[in-house]
Amino acid sequence: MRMPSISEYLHTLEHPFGMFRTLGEPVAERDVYGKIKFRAGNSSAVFRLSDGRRNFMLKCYIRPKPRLRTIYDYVERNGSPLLPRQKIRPDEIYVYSDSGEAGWYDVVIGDWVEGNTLDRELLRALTEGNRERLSELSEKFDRLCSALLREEWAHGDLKPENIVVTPDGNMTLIDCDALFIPALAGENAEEIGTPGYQHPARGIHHYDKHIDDYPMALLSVGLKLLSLDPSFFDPQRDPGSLPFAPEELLTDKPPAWDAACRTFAEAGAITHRRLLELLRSPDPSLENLERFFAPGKESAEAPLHAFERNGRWGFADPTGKTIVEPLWDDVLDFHEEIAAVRIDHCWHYIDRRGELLFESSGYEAAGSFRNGTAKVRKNGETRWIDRQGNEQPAPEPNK
Amino acid sequence: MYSTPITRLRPTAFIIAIDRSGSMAEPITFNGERMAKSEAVALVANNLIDELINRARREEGVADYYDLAVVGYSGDGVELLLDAGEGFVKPSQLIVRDVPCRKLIRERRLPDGRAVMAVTEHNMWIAPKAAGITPMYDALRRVVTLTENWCRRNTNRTSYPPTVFHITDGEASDCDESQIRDIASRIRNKGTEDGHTLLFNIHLGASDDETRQHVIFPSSPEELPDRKYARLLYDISSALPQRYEPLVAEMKTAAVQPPFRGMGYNASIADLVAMMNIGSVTSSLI
Repeated sequence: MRMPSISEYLHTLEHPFGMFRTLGEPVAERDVYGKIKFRAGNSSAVFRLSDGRRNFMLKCYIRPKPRLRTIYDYVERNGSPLLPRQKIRPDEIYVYSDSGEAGWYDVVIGDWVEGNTLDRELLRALTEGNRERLSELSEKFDRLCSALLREEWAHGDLKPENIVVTPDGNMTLIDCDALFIPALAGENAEEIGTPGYQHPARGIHHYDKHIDDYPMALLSVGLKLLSLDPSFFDPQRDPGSLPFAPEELLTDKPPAWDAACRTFAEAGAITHRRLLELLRSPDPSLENLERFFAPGKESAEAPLHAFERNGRWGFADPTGKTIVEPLWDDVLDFHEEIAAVRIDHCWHYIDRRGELLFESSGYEAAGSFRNGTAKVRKNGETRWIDRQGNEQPAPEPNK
Repeated sequence: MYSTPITRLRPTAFIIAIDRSGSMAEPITFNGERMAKSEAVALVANNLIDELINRARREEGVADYYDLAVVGYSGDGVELLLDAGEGFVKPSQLIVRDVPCRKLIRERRLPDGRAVMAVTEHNMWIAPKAAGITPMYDALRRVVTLTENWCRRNTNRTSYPPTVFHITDGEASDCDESQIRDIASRIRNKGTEDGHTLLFNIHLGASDDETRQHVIFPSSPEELPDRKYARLLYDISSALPQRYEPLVAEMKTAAVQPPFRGMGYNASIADLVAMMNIGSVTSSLI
């Protein structure tokens, strides 16, 4: 029997008496016109219901999902701070079709996640010109990526519409239908995510823990770029508000590429600058993505030394442990706990954790710190700055 | 081909062309209820429009993922049934309309065996009608114009191409076979960079006589009954792209090989429902 349509599920919810196996007669939330509220997706509709004690999410499917029980059993058993509590209820809802057939269908129920989806939060922040909010969304998303990379599973359809920004400011993932879980290793994917957020070469055989790598990098780059310069927002673009579409990134000269590189360079956003390059990979799996989202490492007390890997520079402690990832185009040694580092044509300063010492639009040339000041060149002029980036008088020459 | 995601900025189009000639007054059984073919077709078309609107519903409201048009043809001529102007309307325009509602009361069995009278409400975006002759050629000419104008819009250049459902219970009264072939070919030749317009031709059976051979989504002319009109419908219908194949294969009981033609002959209303559900599978590209 074919899966029900949304209209057919609505008919059941209008008259729930006797139509649920375990949920009794839940009441669906309605709009101001008295119509049942719901949110439709590619293969389902999500309703907010109440059983008299609490609100909960009910997800009904309009396309067959053979792995639904396997995936949601895993989610229920293992849980994750990144996912709301949810479980599958097999054969829970009885639905009549317009052609007279009827049957029981699986549903997923779970906690209702309060908050707005990331696409709406992003659009609102862009429309309001709220750069502080944009920065916040960018940082929170990167923290989400860091947490997600530590999980054994992957979401499978990462996109702004599937990320809820909760009132406490955290981000929660919704819609787990495309999840990769360890039990399904070696199998093909049933779906390949939403075009516009996935690598163009992603196919059904790409189904492992790394299926979120590309959308994580794409969203991270897009959010960071918009936080640095909201003028990259083009409401005429598809999809959502991201400045780049995956297909564009694989062309010889993606639109806005130079401007994006310059923006990242001037902001010292080395992680996102390198992620942008990574997005041009012909392969959907992005190697070692976790190094881009790892929290700042504890710096060793011992002196850090510069090292080069694949043409990029970073810093390691005397044991060889990488403290600052080799992402920079050039570096100077640490002096007074500060190192000058270069990205493209811009010099910046970092501390022993690899964090930018202060915000700046970068320098054309930069010297090491001596006695609390460093010599830099900006707009063709030589200046002296302190550890906060404030301009200082030139130091007295040593006698 | 036939893979462009459907988005607000790159919507697709659905056109339903409905025969409203006098023969559509003939009774038919649908869902246990006896009604005129015109009523059943109107119900199915209205349900499809409702479902397309439902599938476009998002957190912030209804997204305009499609442009919708309905063309009706009868002895009173050819009419645009959703919008008399340009012909196409968007879901966001439809949901703010005051639309009449029809209540259907049916006996249903609850899972515990109890019988209840269930009332379902159905928006009547289009009203049923059965009157006069069958100006099919004129109607399909209108469809040509609709698809051509839609495909020509710069914003639709790379969109998923239009899907046309043509529902009839008989033959044209305003043209001959060669003209039908020609006009259908013109519809199918319109398209976008993602492919040609998909034309589904669904012929409704004359009665509930289940002894008459009915065919849906044939994969070769050999599946057709020995009827000239069946062959004509086969020839003028689109070969369905790959994305429709699993759904068609699932609904056909015999082992079949693609490609399938988007046609039905002597189809029942239940067949019509199934075919239009499959034909609107593009909404999975949202």
